[in-house]
This record gives sequence, structure tokens and C-alpha cells, in this order.
Amino acid sequence: MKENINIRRLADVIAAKASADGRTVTPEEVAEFLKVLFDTVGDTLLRGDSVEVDGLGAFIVDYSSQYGIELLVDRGFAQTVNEPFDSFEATELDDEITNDLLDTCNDRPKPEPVADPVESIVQDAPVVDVEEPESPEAEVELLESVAIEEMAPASMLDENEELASEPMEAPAPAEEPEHEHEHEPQAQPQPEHEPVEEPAPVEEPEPQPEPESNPDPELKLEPESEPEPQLVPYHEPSKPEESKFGNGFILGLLTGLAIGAVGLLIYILFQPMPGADEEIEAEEVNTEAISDPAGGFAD
Amino acid sequence: MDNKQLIETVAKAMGQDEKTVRAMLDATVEEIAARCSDCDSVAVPNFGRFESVKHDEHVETDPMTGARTLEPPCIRVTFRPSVVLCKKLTR
Repeated sequence: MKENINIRRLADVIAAKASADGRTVTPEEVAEFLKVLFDTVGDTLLRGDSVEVDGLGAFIVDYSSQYGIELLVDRGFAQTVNEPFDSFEATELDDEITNDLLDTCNDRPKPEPVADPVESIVQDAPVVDVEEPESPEAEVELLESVAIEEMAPASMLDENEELASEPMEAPAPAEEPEHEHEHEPQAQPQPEHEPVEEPAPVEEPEPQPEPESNPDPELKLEPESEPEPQLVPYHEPSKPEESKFGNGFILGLLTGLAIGAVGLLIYILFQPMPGADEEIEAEEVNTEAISDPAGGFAD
Repeated sequence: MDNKQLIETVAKAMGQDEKTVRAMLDATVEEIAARCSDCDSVAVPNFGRFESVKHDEHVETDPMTGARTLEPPCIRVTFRPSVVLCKKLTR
């Protein structure tokens, strides 16, 4: 496919095809034939004439074309080339088939290959905290046991344990980022979003019965269920933070209201009464009149 | 020059009979078609190259009637002359 073939490499095939009816054609004769054939066609084209070859088409000289020489392909040659698509036919589309529908058909994703059983087991496993040093070891043990079970018969388990452990160590670090991606969205929103913390206690009882229901020693889910209690410390400190924040806010609000009330009371008590100045001036005039009773008569 | 004249000319130049030349010519055309059907290109030194281009299925719309037709995939063979032949032609 998409290979550039020199026609002289095809001399053997052409010689075999041309040898029939008691006639034997050697590859050397074919090579000479090809040279003479295309030299003749080229010379004819250079004279301005066209050359017609049965089964192939007609070479014509057209100076208005891109290269000056064109090949008008024979219908039989085109049919031979398109033999792989003979089962297809041009179909007129109905109005119900819209361009959007065709685009969706073209954009339809291809079916994904069957997931690796090891990866599916790891993805189905309960959430495990990455920071815990025991979890990677438990994962490696789990992957080893499952992979060995599925890929090797039981009789070969003992022999392949050592061999299987070595290649399985390599994918283990590659799987850790997957867990990180899985845990990061859960671990980060816990301190920020309060409602997310509520379903956390619901998750706790689920993994606990699993080790009890799976008595198989090969499925070591205990180390994976252990990290979940570690999620509790992330929830506990958040609840007191809520109450502290609410109490502080209420306490500050009450304090502000009390200070405001006291200020208002002080303002009301010590505010000068309207018209007090006039009364004071009238009192002063009265006192002056009393102290100098003869003043008006002197004038 | 038609096919018969071509065979006569080649047979005369090679000193072969026309039946043998015709058989070799038919075998050559058949092999070129087989290679182009595999989307390969066949190069002929000092002459040119037969190239095949595969076109996927597509929808064509008639500009006059607006009718849409789903065209099947196809392989189209084109010929690209060599530089030597083009230079000789331009002279």
C-alpha cells in the first residue's frame, strides 16, 4: 500500500503472465519490451500525437493541463482498479437523512478494546489514599495474584510467581497516577465543599462487609479498606470549623448590636433639646433686667 | 497512434512477433492495474509514474435539483510524466 514500484521489478511477473500457449517470455525480454514500449510512446507524444493503449487508456498531449501530458483512463482499466469496491453503489439519500446525521455517523467513536482485567480490577477497587505507604504494596500483591490466576494455569502458579512479580512491578507505578487522579477530586473538595462530606460516612460501611463476604485470601481488600478511616480526620476538623465560624459570626453581630444600642442611648441622653438656647437667652435677659432695674428709666 | 500501430512498431523494433508483444503488453497493463488497485504507484523510468489515489465515500449534491447522492469509494489513476519527458516536451 502506497508503495512506489519500479516497473522493472515487475518483469518477472509480467514474463510469467505473458508466457502462455507454448510461448516462453523471459524477464530480460520483458525489460527490453518495456524500454522499447515507453520510448515509443514518449517519442510519439513528443511529436504531438496521442497514443492509445488497449486496456489502459490514451496518452494525449494537452499543453493546458498541469503536466502537458494526460492519461485518459480506459473504462475497463478503471473497473479493474475499482474491483474491491464493486459491491458499493451510488445511493440517493432521502430527505430524512440529514447532514448532521451523517456527521454523527462519521464521528461515532470506535468500540474501545476490551479493558485489561488487571486495570478493571484496579478501577473497581475501592478508593485508597495514595499517601498511605501500605496501599501500593497491597495493590501489587492483588495485581500479582489476579494476573497469575488468569494468565497461567494453577499448576504453573508456583513456578511463575517469581517471573510474574518482576514484570508486574513496572506497571504498578504507572497505575499510581490513576489513583491520584481518582483521589484528587475527592480529597480536594472535602475541605471546601461542605455537602460533599455528608456522603462520606455512607461510604464507610460499604467496604467493611466486603472483606467479610470475600473469604478468599487472594483478594486482599483489607489494606484497601483501611485507608477509609483516614478520611474521617478530614471530616472531623471541618465540623468544628463550621460551629466556630457560626458562633463567632453571631457573637460579633450581637456585640455590634449592643455597641450600637449603647451609642444610640448616649446620643439620645446627651443630645441638646431644641429651643434650649432661646430659653437660656431669655433667662440671661431676665437676670440683666433684675440686676439693673433703673436702666430703662435712665434713658 | 492506435494500439495496433503501437504493437507493430514495438514488434519491429524488438524483432519479435506481434502476438508475443501483444501478450507482453496485455500482461503489463494487467500488472499496472493490479498495483494501482492496491493503491501503489508504478514508476516507469524516463517516462512517468502511474499514481492511484483512493477517494472515500462522500455525498454529492446536484446543484440543479438539490438531490444528494452517496457516492461509493473509488480509486482514481492518474499519470504524472517524468521531468525528462516534460523538458523534452517543452522544447
